[in-house]
Amino acid sequence: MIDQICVGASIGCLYALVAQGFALTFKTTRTLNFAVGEFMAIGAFTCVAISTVAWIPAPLKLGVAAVVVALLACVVFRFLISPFTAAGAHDARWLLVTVALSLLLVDVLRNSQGTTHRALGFAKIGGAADLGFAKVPGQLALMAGVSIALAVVIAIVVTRTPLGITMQAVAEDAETAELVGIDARRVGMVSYALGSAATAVGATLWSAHVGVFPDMGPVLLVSAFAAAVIGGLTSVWGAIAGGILFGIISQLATVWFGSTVGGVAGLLAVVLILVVRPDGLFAQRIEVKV
Amino acid sequence: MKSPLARRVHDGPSIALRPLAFPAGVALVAAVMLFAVISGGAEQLSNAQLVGQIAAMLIATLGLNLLVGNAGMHSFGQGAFFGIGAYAFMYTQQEWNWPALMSFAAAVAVPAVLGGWVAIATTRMRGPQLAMVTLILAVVVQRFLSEATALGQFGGYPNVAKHDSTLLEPPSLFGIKLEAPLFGDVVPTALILTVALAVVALLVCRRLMGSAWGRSLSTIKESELLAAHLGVNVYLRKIALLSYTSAMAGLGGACYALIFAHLQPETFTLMLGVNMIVMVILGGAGTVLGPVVGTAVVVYLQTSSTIGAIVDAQTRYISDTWFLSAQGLIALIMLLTLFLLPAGIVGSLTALSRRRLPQRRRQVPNAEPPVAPASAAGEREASSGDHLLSMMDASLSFGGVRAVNGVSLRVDPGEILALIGPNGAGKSTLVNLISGVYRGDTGRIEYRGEDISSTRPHERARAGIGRTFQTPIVSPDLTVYDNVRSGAPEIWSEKLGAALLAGRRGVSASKARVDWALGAVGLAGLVELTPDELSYGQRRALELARALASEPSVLVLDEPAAGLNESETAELSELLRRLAADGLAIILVEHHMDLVREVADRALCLIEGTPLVEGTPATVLADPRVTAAYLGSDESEIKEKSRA
Repeated sequence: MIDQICVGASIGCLYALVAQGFALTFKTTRTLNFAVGEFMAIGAFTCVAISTVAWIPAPLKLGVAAVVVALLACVVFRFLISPFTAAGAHDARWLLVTVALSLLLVDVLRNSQGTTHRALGFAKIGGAADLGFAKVPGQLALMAGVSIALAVVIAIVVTRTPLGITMQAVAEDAETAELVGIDARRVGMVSYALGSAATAVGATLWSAHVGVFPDMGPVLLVSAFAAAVIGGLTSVWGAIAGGILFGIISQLATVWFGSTVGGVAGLLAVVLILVVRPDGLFAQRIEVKV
Repeated sequence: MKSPLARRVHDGPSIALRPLAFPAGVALVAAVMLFAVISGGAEQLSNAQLVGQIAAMLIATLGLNLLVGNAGMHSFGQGAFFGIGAYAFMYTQQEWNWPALMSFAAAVAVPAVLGGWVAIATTRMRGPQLAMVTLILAVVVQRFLSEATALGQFGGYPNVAKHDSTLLEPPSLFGIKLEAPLFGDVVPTALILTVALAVVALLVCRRLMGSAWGRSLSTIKESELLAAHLGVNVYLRKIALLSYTSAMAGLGGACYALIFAHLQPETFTLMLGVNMIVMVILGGAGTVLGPVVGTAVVVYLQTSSTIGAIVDAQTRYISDTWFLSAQGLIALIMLLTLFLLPAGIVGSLTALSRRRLPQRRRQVPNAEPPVAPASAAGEREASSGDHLLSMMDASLSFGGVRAVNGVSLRVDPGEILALIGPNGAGKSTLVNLISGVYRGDTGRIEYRGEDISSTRPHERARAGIGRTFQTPIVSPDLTVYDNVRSGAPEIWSEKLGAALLAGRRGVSASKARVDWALGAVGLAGLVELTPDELSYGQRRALELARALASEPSVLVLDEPAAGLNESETAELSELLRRLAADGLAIILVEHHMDLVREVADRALCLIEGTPLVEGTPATVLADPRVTAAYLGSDESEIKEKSRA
């Protein structure tokens, strides 16, 4: 039981990291990248491509993936998302654009890389990590440790540093922030780059466990999105809590009721939470000003 | 009978037949298409299936169009509801042998209930959360359909292992066997039924879009707050809308089940929901014919050899690894549509024809308003002794900030009360307290002698408290005329059922009032324009006309003269005095002191949420404390001056 909770929490750490990426961009730009799953796959495939280059140490390979995905996120935000938010709060074309982008990328990945699961080629560790009160597969522990560390660092950056304060200003009121000299679009771009890069690192470590394949995105996308919604969609700490909670619920439901129920139990829990608290567990409701 | 084409040729004498032109045209096109594929025999079977698939999908995308195009609610779940309808029909047929009519009812009812439930779960959410919940729904449904053993998993349903056949036995409806277009020698009655249902669905949706109920969706899309202030119960309307659109998806799914007599779970993935959104957007979201064009184009592309040919060409000439297959191409079409044709095919064509025929569309004769209808305020007398609207000792804090602090005010029929005060004095918060956006922490508001402190905005609007906003909120999708018309009470009073049955015919009830309101604010000549073609002052006038169309007893105006030029302000002043003379009670928030001096009977000056002075405009404006407040002296100075 405790082992299972720890396994769920470990996977939840990855969800938390991805969810945090959602929270970051939603906070500052009111948009989300539905193609983030494919970004993660691209990061993982980048690592596969450079896995045979011996002189790059493994952590640096993760760094390469992070940079590639961050650049991609910047380009996509600048040319595909930002133009489609121009018509104000009701403009939801960005949503359709990112969904279309997701389908396009996954199609290209399938055709070019094939649908078989490939080995990442590094960061593979066996055995189990003994936490004293529970045992977790080492691979999962590595992923969870790195993910949660990144998530906490980002959360601190966002809440405590000047960059974070700038983001907060844009989140509160982008127009007013622009008046005091903040480039809201650049802040949005930084959020996208930061969130996507961290997500790529976490997902690549996950792919060391499950293999690299084009369709790895949707699994993570739906879970992480659910986690972000639980957390309130704008709270970076809430996203971490939401991710871990979602991971535990899904894992326990899978153990108790089988994989079909496990796959949807977390999602149903999200809907239930939303009915009771429409803005998630950790976000404050902001009234509309007229 | 006249087709739309014939209508353009001779326009004059056929006015009586004109309402029939569209239905007749649609029916004619459908009948010709049906005849073509049915009479062709076995060679035409694939075309018959294509037509059937388009018609079945169309029923669902017509519903989705209302959701996405009219109400601005993005749902990825329409494919899931489509699947639920299909399986509900098939399962009740195959396992329980229900009569066809009952299976249809189940296929419609199950998604409708589920859709209503989604609406309840998401109604207080904003932004992408509805999309999120419908996405979750699509994933859950996809898993259920592909993993439930009772539905045959990837063997499909029905399947040989369990039912000795992969095809559903044709159900019979009113004694007619509903034959699927699968064999050359039988008349595909299921196809005829499906096409007929699609035609009816199209006509019903067109009717709905033209109704007051349909207009309420446009106001919800622009702003739920606006909709509430027009009296619409947004919560119930969203539930009704999602139930209705989901029911349409279910009906479409049942037709799909009839056309193919067999279901595969992989048909009803999240991708189907995405495809349906592509169909709506490509065709033109919010247009009547958009879903028809979009659905036909996308389904044709998917099933015809065109996509295959494009994929082949890519692998031959570009690369055999870096290419796009069907799904990627559809996604690419979606991206290109959003970039190049944001209004969709039909929307862009409409805009084009509108530009080419400017004179005919925009010149509207008979701009002169009829006699002003008796103002509602005159009819309903305030109960004896009480004021029409009064606020007693209201306070409201946000966090630690007291935005409104112990304010009392009253207004009676025929009276204009001006609220003045420097920026940040709490005037807009006070307006929001009166219209019900906020509830006060303390104090009470009485209207016609009843305590309305705890009622919601739509209830206050219905009772006769109308308002305008500091920044005008108007629906860009509606014409000036329809924007004003959305102020009329039928926008909240009309029920979905009535809209389905009466539709365009039920519009005349408020016509006199709307025409009068348009004339009163001077917009009578501009009724066919869209709001973005108006000047800022005209948009303000539009809001005012919309508020007047609701026949209010109390009218709350939040800075109506902001951004108006001198002559417009003079007209406004004249209008306000005339309205008050007709018995309307007006609360006027204004910085324009000349206007206040001219029209107001009383003025109340607020500073930092607290009432400072109340009295006639002349005395209030002459008060040194008021001058000091406007000149930005700090509080100590004001106190000194008041002491002196």
